[in-house]
Amino acid sequence: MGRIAGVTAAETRQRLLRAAADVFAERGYDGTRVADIAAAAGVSNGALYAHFASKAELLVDALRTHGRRLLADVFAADPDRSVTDLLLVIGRWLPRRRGAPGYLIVEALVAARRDEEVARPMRDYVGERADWIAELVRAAQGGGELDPALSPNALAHFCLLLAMGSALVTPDLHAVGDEEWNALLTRLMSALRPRRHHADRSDAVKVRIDHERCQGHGRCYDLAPSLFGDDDEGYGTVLGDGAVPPGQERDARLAELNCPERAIDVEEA
Amino acid sequence: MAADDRFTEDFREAREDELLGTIAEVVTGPVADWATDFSHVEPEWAADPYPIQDDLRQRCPIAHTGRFGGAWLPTRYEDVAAIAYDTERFSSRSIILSNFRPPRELAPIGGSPPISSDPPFHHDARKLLLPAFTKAAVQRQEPATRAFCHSLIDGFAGQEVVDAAADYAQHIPMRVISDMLGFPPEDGPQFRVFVEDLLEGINLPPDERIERVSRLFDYLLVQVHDHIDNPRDDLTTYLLNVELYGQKLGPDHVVGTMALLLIAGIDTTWSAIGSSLWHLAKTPADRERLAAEPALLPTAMEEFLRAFAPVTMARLVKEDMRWHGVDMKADDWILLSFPAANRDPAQFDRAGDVVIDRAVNRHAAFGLGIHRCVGSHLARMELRVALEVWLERIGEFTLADPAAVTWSAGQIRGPRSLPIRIR
Repeated sequence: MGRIAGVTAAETRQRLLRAAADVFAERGYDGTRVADIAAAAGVSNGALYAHFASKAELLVDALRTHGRRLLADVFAADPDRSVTDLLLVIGRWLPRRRGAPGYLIVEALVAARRDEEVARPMRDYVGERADWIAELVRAAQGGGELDPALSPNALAHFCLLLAMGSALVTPDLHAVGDEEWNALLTRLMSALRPRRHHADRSDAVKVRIDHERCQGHGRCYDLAPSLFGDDDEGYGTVLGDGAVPPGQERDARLAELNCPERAIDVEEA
Repeated sequence: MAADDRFTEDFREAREDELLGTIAEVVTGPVADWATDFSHVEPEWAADPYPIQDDLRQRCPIAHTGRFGGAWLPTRYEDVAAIAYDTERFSSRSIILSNFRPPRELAPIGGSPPISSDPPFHHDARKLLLPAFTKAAVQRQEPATRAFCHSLIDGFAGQEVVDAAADYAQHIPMRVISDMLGFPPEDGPQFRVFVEDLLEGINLPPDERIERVSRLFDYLLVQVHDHIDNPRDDLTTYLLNVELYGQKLGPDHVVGTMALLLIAGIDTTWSAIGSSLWHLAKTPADRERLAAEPALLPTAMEEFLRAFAPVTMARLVKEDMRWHGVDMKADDWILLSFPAANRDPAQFDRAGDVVIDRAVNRHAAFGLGIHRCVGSHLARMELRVALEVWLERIGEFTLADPAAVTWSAGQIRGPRSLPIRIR
């Protein structure tokens, strides 16, 4: 079999990745020969090697393509969706995941345990996914959707564990009802929002400086000049009684989180 | 007014007696293993210390060297912070690591109070300086600083490539601190020599080092006498008149503090400005973003301070002890690397990346604890103004020759030669 007339290289590549996903999912990584994938895609072995250097590369690239497609679909459905909503939508879908992409991840994880040739590109792939999620988290922190005190990397790691775990614990092994799962995710997400998010409780928020700790770095009065001032020697002072007016909760939190001496507390009265 | 007789020849002799400390053998040359033989004055460290620090943090978080008579290098944020806070077990009586250890009797005042002082004296000596360095006080220097930055850029007219370190960054803190101390502005080139002698010359033979350091004190004495004869509204006159415990300061306290303000005020900020411009010159995305969003500059500046923290301090171990798993001996040095702490992944997300919109940035560039850099508000003002003027006046700029960039060795790190193409 030669090249299929009228088919572009990109199309051949896509065809190979689709075939790879199906064949790997069906026969497992070890049980698949490169020739099986070429046959399923209707191209020659030579044509396959023109696109992919190895079976390992096919596996990880197939994974990448499917991961991107899922996200592209979610984005396309509602491009204005907030980051937290996006994470929720993906999270809600996880217990129901079925089909080739889920099996592919399982195959790739198993193969990576034994085969350094798979392990290397898998590390890159997992790293890319983690970076992508961490970027989303950062955007959400910048937009006030998520607490800036959370480590984007830790949250990305948590999401990865959920996503990869959902490929392993399939619905036939253990099932969870949509409603109860959604309720749990929503609850988790609200715990990740910036603290003191609700303006109606803001008059209960107060800032405080521990004068034993303060060394006069001045980050508080740089970042939240309407809440903090300084004395004649540059040490931080709380303006007024420290009550945080509505709309200034974020400034208060930033002052707290940027104090190198951890001298600032934002507390509910 | 009665003549001020504190600054006589006797004072010089008394000062020389204080220099009777201990001297270690000078060891130079390539480092065999950074975990057991580190040296922060070797070219490899000066060129790029971060991979070395990252490696040490992983495999040997408190590294050791036999050089300088024995020194330790912690690279984790947690350990650096613990030492900065522990003035009971770590002394500041010398904060520049060298082959010379001043005698223990020099504590708690040290040679350049208050940076070289330990509690309880430290607090009282520091209190004298704080009012002159508050945010409001340093704001008074801002218009002159801005005008001076513009004049430096005016001087670039007709040039395609300029040295952003030598022709821009270094002059800004020199001018600001000499104005504050009331020294002649044209003495700048001498200040550069003093800075290099003190901070980079640590492996010179002891006699030569003492000789060079005494040149700085000769210069400061000339300024002291000029201010005694012609008092004026500046920090030198203030130090000559201010009282502590009911009397004027001792002569070595006055001159030691002048030396501190002069030296610590110059190459630190010079380094911070230079490193920031170096990053922007080689990172077009960040340069363009800052040009488009000037309001982001204060946040970006904190990130430059984190990622390129110019200042590493030193401490001396007070007594033999087991500390965080290593056996420290009395008089061992600690190289207190705030730059290494600032890149600890346990403390900072994406610690090795420069993230100019990092909103939460609890960095330690100005130190932690009682020795927080007294000039931090001044440094931030100078850095902000220097970057604002540069970005406003020079739209596009790139590294003219990345290989020609050179970095200072020793405890203060920043570019010393930084050719930048400005059109």
